[in-house]
Amino acid sequence: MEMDRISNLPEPIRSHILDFLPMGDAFRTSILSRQWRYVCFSLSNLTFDQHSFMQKKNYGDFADSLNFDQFSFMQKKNSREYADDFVNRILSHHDGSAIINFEVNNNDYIYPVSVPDVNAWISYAVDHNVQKLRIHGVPTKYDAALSGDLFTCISLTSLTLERLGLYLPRTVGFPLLKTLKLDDVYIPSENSINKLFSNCPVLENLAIRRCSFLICNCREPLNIFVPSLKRLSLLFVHYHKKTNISSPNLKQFACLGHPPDISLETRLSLRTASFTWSVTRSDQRTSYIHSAHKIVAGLHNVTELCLYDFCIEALTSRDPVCLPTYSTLKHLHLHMLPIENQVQAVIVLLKRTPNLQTLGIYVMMRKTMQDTLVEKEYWQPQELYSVHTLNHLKLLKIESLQGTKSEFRLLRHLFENGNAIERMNICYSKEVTEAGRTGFSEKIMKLARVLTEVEISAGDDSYKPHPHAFKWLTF
Amino acid sequence: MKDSFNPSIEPPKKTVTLVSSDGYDFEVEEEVALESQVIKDGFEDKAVDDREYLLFNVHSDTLELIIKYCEKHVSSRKSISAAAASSSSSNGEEALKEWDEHFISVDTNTLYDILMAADYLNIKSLLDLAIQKVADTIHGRSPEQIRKKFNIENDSIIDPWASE
Repeated sequence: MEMDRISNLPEPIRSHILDFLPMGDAFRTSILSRQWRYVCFSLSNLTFDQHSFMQKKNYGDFADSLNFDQFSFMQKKNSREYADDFVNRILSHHDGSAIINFEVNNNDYIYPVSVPDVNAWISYAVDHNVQKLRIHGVPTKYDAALSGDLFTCISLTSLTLERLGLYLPRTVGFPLLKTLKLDDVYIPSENSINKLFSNCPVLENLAIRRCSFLICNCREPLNIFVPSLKRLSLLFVHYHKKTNISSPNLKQFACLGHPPDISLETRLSLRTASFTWSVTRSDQRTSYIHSAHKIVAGLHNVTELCLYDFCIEALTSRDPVCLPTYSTLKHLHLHMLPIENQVQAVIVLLKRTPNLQTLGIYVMMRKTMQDTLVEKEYWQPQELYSVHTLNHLKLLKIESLQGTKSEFRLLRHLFENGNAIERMNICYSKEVTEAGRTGFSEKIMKLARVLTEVEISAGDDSYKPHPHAFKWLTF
Repeated sequence: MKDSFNPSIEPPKKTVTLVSSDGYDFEVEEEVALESQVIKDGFEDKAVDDREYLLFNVHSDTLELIIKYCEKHVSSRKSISAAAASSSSSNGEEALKEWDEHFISVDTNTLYDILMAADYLNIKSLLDLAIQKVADTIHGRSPEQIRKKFNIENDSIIDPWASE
């Protein structure tokens, strides 16, 4: 028989192996043999997923393997009690070595984990110098808030809070925190969110998504004044009165919702930006167009830009001459409507991108434009027909092509000016008929130069937001 | 001009010698050896003409694999950053991942040898790669299956499985 080499690996290595496994698998190894009994108690990666406690089989194994008193479990009624008891026991057996990653994941909304228990676990993790912490779905309330220990944790480098109410204690400060993510977090109005990141001297990544804070008539704006910040993502942060951003080192910014107010320095430091703004109330329109235009016109150093229809529309609203030349811009992604106004705005924009290398266009269906603006009378900027070239444009990608005259005009413009296009990728919308496709393709092929490699396909229309808008959520 | 490609014009690459536990010498480029944190840590203290490392815990068979891994990573890191500088699109990282996958698909004994050597030499990316491979083998298996897979003898006094 072959030798059992795995059991003879040094314990730190075996513990390291278990850190790469889900908790259930990791704890089950304790019943393999005596040599494996205590390896799982030095795990540095603890993930408590309530869903897995529901499965009695898993749980029974844990209980057996940890020599727990079976009887006490039989009396427990629900997964909450199982879970609480289980975690408490694991933590009491843990050998006290540093915890790197700690997660509490509660998916059971009928019997959620209790806040005092979660707080005890958080305190344990904080005492053991936890570096990454994620708390998902804890039923916090005003009188049952997350432990104050958490908000002054000196070892924490990454914090993720999801699906909970955030009641901040008086003192908040994370000296080593680099990444902060808030998803679906409710922040009551009497409690300012600004406090959470105002005392994070090394914070680099901040993502706020679907957070309904300050719903009511709170006068305080959301202020993101974090000098160290490099990546920021604000998605569906709709309810806020106003957002002010001043982070002079910000490199990447994705924003979905309303245009914020961005300081001059921040606009100059941005390298990658993705803006998906929409107007939900007509009285907001003028001020939004103003802010959107101000931001887009201020991105002098951007290398990658992603704009959605409202931003494109906003470009037409003012004298286009005030747009800068985006000499550093290499990659541009646009989500546009196939209407003349937007085509013209895009052409104006393309005249100011002399070094563009890739252009990606997603043509949106007109039926998805309810919340966009009413089409204005054709807007014809004077400079539209002057000659210019897109000398560096190599790759052109068009998705969900509808086959309209406006689109054809845009394509014609691209081929007349882009003399270096090497590859073109076209994907028709499902709504375009076979005959329509063939006709349009023939027209395009006449435009395209011989050297261009053209790939045409019929795609599905399922609305895919451009990945660039969302990729920073997973940093 | 052909002359410009003459290799003799290039300065000779600095090398170090790694000696395996069974006494074989491996001459490798300096930057390849520096993939090991252990070698890197002691590197500056050593005299230039005394760059020889005796690796008592690494057999020549394993060392050969380790050097292959480090060489690949050094070279593809260079080509990836070169591609990024010229901003041409490259799938270098994906190709490297594929290469890693292929590299670590070895029999279990070799895998442990690589794992131990990566730990000893402190090559983090290789250690993680090997550990992930072992973890993948354990993942989703029942204790009985794991024992069988790894030839672990169950010497527990109380076997909860036997009582069922």
